[in-house]
Amino acid sequence: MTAGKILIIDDDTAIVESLKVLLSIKGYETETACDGEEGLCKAKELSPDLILLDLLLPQQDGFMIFKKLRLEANTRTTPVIVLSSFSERPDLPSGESLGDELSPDMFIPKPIDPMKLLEKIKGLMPSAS
Amino acid sequence: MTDDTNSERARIWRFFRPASVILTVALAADLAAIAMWPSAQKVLVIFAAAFTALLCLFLWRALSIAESATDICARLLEQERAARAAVEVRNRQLENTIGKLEEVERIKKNFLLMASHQMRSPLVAIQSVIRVIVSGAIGGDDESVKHLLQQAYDRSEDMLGMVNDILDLAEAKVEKDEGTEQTDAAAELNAVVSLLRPTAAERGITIETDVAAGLPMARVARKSVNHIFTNLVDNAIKYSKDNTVVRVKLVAEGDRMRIDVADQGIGIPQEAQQKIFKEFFRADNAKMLIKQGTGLGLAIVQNIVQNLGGDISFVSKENEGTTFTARVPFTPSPQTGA
Repeated sequence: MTAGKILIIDDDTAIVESLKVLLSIKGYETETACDGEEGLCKAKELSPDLILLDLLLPQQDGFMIFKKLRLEANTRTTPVIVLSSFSERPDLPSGESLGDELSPDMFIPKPIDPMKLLEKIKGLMPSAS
Repeated sequence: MTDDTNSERARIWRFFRPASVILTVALAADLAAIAMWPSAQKVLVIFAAAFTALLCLFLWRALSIAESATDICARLLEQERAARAAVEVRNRQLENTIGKLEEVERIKKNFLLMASHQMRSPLVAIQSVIRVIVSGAIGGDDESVKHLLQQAYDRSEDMLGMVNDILDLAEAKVEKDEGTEQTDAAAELNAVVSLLRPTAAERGITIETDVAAGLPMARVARKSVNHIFTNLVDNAIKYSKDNTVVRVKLVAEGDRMRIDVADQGIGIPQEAQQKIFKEFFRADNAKMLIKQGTGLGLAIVQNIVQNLGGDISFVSKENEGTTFTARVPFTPSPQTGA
């Protein structure tokens, strides 16, 4: 019995590996994707309990992936934590709106603080509610 | 003399000529009448004639002064126009210089921004890994710690590679080849290929070389030749499909050496071809194949080649391959920057 299934979408292997080690030690099952396209496929296929999404991804950025995740039936309500190197929530691409769905409390800045991340994950996991 | 001056002079002349003619005729009539008139009237007439003559003289003189004044005005006008034109030329030159300086400043800022961003990513990754270890969240699992430290080390290697590339680029931009070193380009190419062959062989890639015999020695620093050859051949291997052939050809073309490096790789997508020599640019298919990379390699090669008075170009088709061609003078001339 795992604490939950988490999909990590990030193109930086060092970040992915550190999250994998951290989360698996805390009892989570992890899946990884190194770009948005792969991330979308795995999200649809595996229906994770939570998604960790990097903003700066090749080809399709995190904003675009987030919008697509919200359009999919499988992932419409899946909690998403956005990993960002920006110190604050960055401006959205011009002319685009993600409504209130992508709120500032969904952002975890990089370098990642593992304790804060674990706390946020715990709070967002479906079993927590 | 300008047209304006001539028309001004003609206008003055049109005004004074009838007056002077009338006065001259009046003077002649007065002189003819003198003989017939009484003595007292003669004095008056002589006085009138003398006055008329003086008036005539004065009018001619006035005309002459007016003409001189017109000439002076015209010269001053012309000098003013020339001065204005010179100021305009100077202003344009200044605007041009300011524009160039602003462009240089923009490029510098952009470069700094890109370099900072590129270096921030591995630093952030390294810090994230270290934070996970030092937070104690993963406990004392030696294997995990070792694994994560290796990840951090690999990212630090990426960062070192990036710093080296940035230094190479800065050097390629400013360093001028004095032409004091003689380099055997053929031997250099063979050495580069020998060094890279094992890496290529790991993925079943064969490197075929065709080096023309009797190539003259190049008056180019060995380091520059090595950098051009290494970068082009290494790139060809990196972006080749497995079990394919990389063909390298070195020939003389007039007073230049020409190197062609052809691969059967992923190719450069059409939309990326315009930007391929741009600093920090990497095509999406290149990023998908090899995640880490600075996007500086081709910019460095282009700077070196251009500093030597040469040129670099390519033909590419996505999914079929790319051929890069660099031409470098055997003896770069000082005018071309070497």
